[in-house]
Amino acid sequence: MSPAELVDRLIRLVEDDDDLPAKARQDAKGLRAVAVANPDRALEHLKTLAADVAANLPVHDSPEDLAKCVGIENFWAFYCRAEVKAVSSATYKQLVMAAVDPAQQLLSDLKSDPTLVDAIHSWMVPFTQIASMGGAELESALVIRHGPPYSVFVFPQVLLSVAGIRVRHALAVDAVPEGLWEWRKGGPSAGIDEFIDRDISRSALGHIEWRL
Amino acid sequence: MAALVTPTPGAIAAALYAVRTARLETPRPILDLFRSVLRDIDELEAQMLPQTLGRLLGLFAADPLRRSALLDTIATFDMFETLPDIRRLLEEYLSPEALVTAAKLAANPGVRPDDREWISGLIRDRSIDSNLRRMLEIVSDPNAQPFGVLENAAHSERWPGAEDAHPDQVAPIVALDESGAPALEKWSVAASLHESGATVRRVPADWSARPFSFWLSPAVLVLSWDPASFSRLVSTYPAMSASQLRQLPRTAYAHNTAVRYSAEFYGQDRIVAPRIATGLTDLSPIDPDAYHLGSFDSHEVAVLSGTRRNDLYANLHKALPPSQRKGHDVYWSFSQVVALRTWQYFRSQAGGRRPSLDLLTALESFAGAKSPTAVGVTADGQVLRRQDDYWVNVTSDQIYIEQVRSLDAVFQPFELGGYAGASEGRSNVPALLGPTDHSKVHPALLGGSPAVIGTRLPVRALAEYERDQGAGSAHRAYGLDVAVANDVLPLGHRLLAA
Repeated sequence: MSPAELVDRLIRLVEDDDDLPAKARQDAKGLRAVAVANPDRALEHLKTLAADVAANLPVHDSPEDLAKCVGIENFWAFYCRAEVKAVSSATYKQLVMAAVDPAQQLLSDLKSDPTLVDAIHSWMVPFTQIASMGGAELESALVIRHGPPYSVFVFPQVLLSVAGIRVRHALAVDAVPEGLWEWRKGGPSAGIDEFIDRDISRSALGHIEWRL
Repeated sequence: MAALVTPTPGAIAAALYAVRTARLETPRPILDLFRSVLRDIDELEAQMLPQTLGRLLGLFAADPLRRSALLDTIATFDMFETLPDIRRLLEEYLSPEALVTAAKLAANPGVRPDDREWISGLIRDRSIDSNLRRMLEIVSDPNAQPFGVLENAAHSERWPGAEDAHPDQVAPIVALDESGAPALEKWSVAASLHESGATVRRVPADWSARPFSFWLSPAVLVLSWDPASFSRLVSTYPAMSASQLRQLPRTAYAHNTAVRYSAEFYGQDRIVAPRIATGLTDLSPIDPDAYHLGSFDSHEVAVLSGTRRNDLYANLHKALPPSQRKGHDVYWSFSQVVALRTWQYFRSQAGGRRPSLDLLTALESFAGAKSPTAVGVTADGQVLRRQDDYWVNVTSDQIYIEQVRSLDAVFQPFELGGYAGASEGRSNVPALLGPTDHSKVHPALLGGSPAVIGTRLPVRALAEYERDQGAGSAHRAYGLDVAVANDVLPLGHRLLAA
């Protein structure tokens, strides 16, 4: 997709989200003129706008446990300690699958940074909605592009509260940083809600589950 | 072929855009980032891809997550050419991830000895976390003794020829010998190998240093476009033999062949061909995830859209330029085939309005939809979506009341009249998604080339085989039912003749 198409679709997403402040939607619309002449700049401005708006949206305490589903290559790339990455992602997947307790293996390989998930990637779903799902069901329910296995970070409500983590339903501005132009309000599929937070600290993590 | 010595500003800008907009949230961020970078580059740019990505490292200082993904991509695809750029990065800041990447790359014989020595010195002399230092030593020194599961895996993966290596405990290593390799195809093969669960080891055409003695082994599959160059590996590793060598074809589908060879060599439980069906049964070809995929060559576009090949290169070149170039070859996406076919469809309608060329642009840039019945088109170039009982313009949201055709109708067979229809073999435009009873077209399968249903066999390849080996040979060679072969071969011959 060309930069012009991408920014056009993202602007439309923000413009059309009537849960966003009117000024934010108007400002996004105003970027169309920039997008015609310089789509790259328009995308930069839109990202800045989205970050500013997202930071000021009302958040609330989570009423329930939340979860984040992560592919094994994603886990290796962004969540593992540096020395674990001395092996390739393919070998790492093999090691985890061969482990006596894969979930425990993932937990012990987790990096120790205080921030576990940064704000723009903090998409979560209520844990109860996916608690009983296997890998294939998760793939379908969360509309995941690549197949299982997945690791699932589970954030208990109590720990979220202690860590001061407050959430809100995802809005169009949350789709902008990653260019998720196909994002639609209402969750990835029927029966699945979608929440987003600012940075999620490591201390909010309860445990990790392994889904084949 | 002209040789570049440094990436062009255009190539750097394109790669920068690809890395900036790649989605890191996906389950396979490295694969997705790499494929984003490969999109739309040409052969010359592909030759300089590592240097191009190396230049980007310094530009992502303010975005550590994306820089980390870039380093992972560099390590995953063994882009040893980036080592000077990583060295510059490490001179500014001793990032653990950059260190690991550098240590992994340093084993490649394409690395200059002074860069290799610099990395060794860094690991030896600088203040580094003890666990990390230990792992860096394992990865960079074939004689370091590993302890524990992770160290053993790192050792076995980096030094498969070592006596204490355990190849079954690590992902299968596939060595890509780059002598005579087409650059774009080489990267495409590497991406597919990674996707299927292999670890890619590049054997560069030119060596800057003698390879480490344990870097390859007789247990490693070697894929090559130029088998004659295998002799240099055998002279370095005398235990290696031709039984571990496979030659890759110089076709756009070499990546499929590479995965198949790897699965045959290592077993299908270890190399898993990417699921074509990722919902191919569920995923509509015009779904946003699939609609813009596909690499149709001019023969396929001609047959599936009812267009003369000459027109693709002449009259329609400006209105519908190919979406991809690989060397001298050009390809069109599925969305472009749909656009062109729709335009021809309206031309074929007796008494209908002459279609606007705007239709081509509108359908090409259309995002996609869940089903062909939900998309309407008009001769004047409007793309519409179904909303209740109305057709609504996808961009203006205005209700459209003039005559509308659904894409589903356009996908059915139709006949061309006039000059185009009079050309031999082009009077009937076959159904788009199922050109014959036993063939199908899907942009996510074989680049969209018509294939035998339930297989990865392009019908054109069957026709080529039949042409070269004689009538009746294809179904025997590929184990096809005679009725299936008889159904698809005329289409294959038509594709060849187009």
